[in-house]
Formats: sequence, C-alpha cells, structure tokens
Amino acid sequence: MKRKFSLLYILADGFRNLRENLSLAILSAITVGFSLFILAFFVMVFTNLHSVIWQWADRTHMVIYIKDDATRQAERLARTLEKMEGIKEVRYVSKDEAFGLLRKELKGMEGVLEGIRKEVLPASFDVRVERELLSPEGMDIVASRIKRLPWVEDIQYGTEWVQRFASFVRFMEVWALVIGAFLTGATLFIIANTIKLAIYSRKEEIEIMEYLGADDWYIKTPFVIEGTVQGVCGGILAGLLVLASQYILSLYVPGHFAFIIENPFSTVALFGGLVAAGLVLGGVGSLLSLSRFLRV
Amino acid sequence: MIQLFHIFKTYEGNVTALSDITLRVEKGEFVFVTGPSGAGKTTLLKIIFGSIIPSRGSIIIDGRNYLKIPPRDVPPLRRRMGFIFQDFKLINTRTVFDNIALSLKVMGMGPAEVKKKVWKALSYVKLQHRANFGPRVLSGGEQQRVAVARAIVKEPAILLADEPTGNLDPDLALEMMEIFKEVNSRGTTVVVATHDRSLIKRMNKRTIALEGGRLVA
Repeated sequence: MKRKFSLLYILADGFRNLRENLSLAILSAITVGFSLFILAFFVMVFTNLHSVIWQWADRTHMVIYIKDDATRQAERLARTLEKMEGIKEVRYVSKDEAFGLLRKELKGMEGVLEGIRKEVLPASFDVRVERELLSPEGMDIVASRIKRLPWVEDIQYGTEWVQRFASFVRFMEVWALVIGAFLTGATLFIIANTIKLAIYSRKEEIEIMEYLGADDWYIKTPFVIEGTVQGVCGGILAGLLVLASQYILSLYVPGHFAFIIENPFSTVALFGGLVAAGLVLGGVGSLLSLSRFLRV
Repeated sequence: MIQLFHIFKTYEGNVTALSDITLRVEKGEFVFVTGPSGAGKTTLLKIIFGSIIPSRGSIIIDGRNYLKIPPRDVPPLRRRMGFIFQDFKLINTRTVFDNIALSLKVMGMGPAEVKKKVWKALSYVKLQHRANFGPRVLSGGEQQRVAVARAIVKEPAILLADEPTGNLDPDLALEMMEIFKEVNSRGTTVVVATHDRSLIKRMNKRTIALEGGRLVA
C-alpha cells in the first residue's frame, strides 16, 4: 500500500518538476537533440559512403580459365565452384562469349582478330568472392583452393587493386572509428553535463528530501522520469533535424553526390533509434549524475 | 535514548567545533542545549541527526551505533526524526502545504491522511491561511513555523530544533515552546538548541551548556 502511494507521488513529482522547470527542460531537450543530430548525421554519411565503397568492391572478381577438355562439363564445374567456401557468385563465360567480349573491346580494330579462330580463347568462370575475403590474403586462400581442381588452367585476379581497396577500407574504418568515438564522447559529455547542471540547480531540494528521510529511489525516480522525457523529446528533435537537413542539402548537393545524404535507414528506424538513444542517455545520465549529489 | 561518547568534531582548517562531548538524553526527555554563538550547538544537533559525521567518538541511538549504520538504513532513521533547521530548509518551488506534506509522503502515507495531518499541523502553528503560498512570500517567523509544522507533523520519535524561536516575537516563541511540550508529552524526545536564556528559565527543563565546543554544564 505504502509503495503504491509512493509511486503515485513520484510520478506526480516527476511531471510537476518538468512543468516547473519547463525552460530548463526544453533547453536540455534541445541540447540532447542537437548532440544526437550531429552523431546521427555522421552515422548516416558514413553508412552511405561505406555502402558505396562495397558496391565498388562487389565488382572485384577472379577469372578462372578452364582446360579445353573440361569445357563440355561447364555446368557441373560451376556447381563445384558454387559449393566452395567463400564464393558468392559464379558465371560461366564460354569460348564464344569470350571472343565476343574481345571483339567488343577492340572495337574499331577488329582487323587484329582476322584469321583467329574463336576456339583460341579459353572458356572461363567469372567468380565473385564473399566480402570478408576481399583482401589479398583472402583472395589467395580462395585461389589456392581453386588451383587444386584438376580442370583449372589458370587463375587471374588483380591483387594490386584488392590490396589498394583493402587498405582504403581500413583507412576509412579507422577514421570513422576515431571520429565516431570522438563524436560519441562529445555527445555523452554534453548530455551528461546538461543533466548535471539541471540537477545541480536543485541540489538543495535533493538535500532537503534526504533530510526528511526519503529513500534514494524516491528522490531519484522523478529526476529519471524528467531525464527520460527530455531524452525522448531530444531524440524526436534529432530525427526532425536529420530530415530537415537532408531536405535542405538535397537542394544544393549535385545529383551524383546525393547518395551521401540519403537516409540509409527507414524513417521509423531513424526515429526509433534516436528516441531510444535519447531515452537511455536521459534516463541513465540522470541516474548517474544523481549519485554524486545523494548522501549529503 | 540518545547517547554520545567522547565526541570530537574538527572542521577543515583545524577549527574545533566540539571537543570530548559525552552526554545522554533519555527517551521522552525535553532538553535544552545552550551556549553562545559558535559554541557548537548546531554541530551537536547535526551529529545527532546524522548529517555531520564526528571526527571521533560514537553515538548510540535506541541501542544502535549510528556511525555504523549502512547507508540504506539511514532514511528510515531520518523518518523517525524531525529537524527544525536554523535556515528552515524549505523547498521554495513548493507551497507551504506541500513542504509539510512531503515529510509524510516520503513515508508512503496515503493522500487523505496526509491532508488531514498537514491541516492539523498548520493549525498548531496558526498558518492555515498560508497553506497555498510559496515560502518566499512568507516572513522569517512564518517560515520558521512552517519548518516546525514539517518537523512535528510526522510525530517523530526524536525532535531536534536549532534556534526554533530565533525569528519569532516573544509571544509566538512561547507558543512554539508549548507545542514542543505537547509533542514531548506524547513521548517524543525533544532537544532544543537556543541561546534564549529567558525561554529556558520559563520552561524549567534540563539544560546542557556548551562553550567553545566543550560541555560546561
């Protein structure tokens, strides 16, 4: 019974505090909103860049030339390759198709091919490997497995390009991690201090409640409710800022760069994520900041 | 029962507030603590209340060593005590009614009972007409009476009052003492710190005198 009344008082206190400290509460929610917006915008741009990079990567392939006497069993061989670990996609390029491709590449200089029989070019498999193997070492592992197959004549793949790509991705990821960590740290710092200042302004009230014999949870819960509501409002604000900035930037960013500001997540996921982040930051932040002021 | 054994309190900068205080206040007793300003009266009361930790010595309240109580057990003990602070310690953003009610709400008391008790306490201190005002608009004397009402409303086992009549005119000061006497007659141990010698004389209760942080009587 006592606990029931306490909960009633705590809820009433939480919402009354919000009403009484409305301007400070709004200021805190705006701070949370802008901090989360900067972080969300960075995540959005990085996710877009990352996915474009991987689209390039998906073009990386391996060409497996097959011995002439194995050409007739192409379908069976393709199935063998598909079953191998690390291989994402297999496409058969017949002698005819290879010749056609060469002719296309030598457009305007077709004379070079005069007198050359189609059969001179070997049939091949165009193989794309899984993303996690897109490194010189990964490609070497796949190639060494394929080389063991008796019908393989030769394998070609651009180690240099893969090497460059892998180091570029590593570079991007390290920087994203550094900037992301910095932004996350800054966001947490700003939010924690905003909450701390809000609580500090009511230090005396907390002290009086302790003197009256209020339990820790009785003192903390209204502040946590306040922090949570502010965090949720901040999260919604951050989502709106992301949408607004996307719209404004789309008016100025040239078409071929527009992918950078596209929303990689659904609007529901964007708002859901930001509201959840605001809720956790507001609630947990209040709880942690309060611990400093209790036990006066 | 409150027992203090060889209590010492030194503040930062080597300022001695209390020195070797040993005393005993029986359950249901009414005691005055007197002495000039800076004698250590407030420090002594706050040590009994548990908001100041002594530098040395021990305090036993109702058989429990107050200095060895785990933090989670402090709130229930505070709920059994009423403290009237010299600076009132009222929450300025809440009304007089809510300030008094808070001391019952933290105990988990139901709204109907809270209302009844708060109005009763307000009538004791003659402040019913100020119930919906904020403390800021009240005079010093009125704020002091709110602080008294907040302390007595929960019918505490121990009532500690630090200069509770400092801002009151002599008639109101006497009325306040009558309230303390009545609270005391219901079994509450009352410890009042005051430098008002005439008030002590009129009340004819045991007096503990402090000077320079030492017990002199």
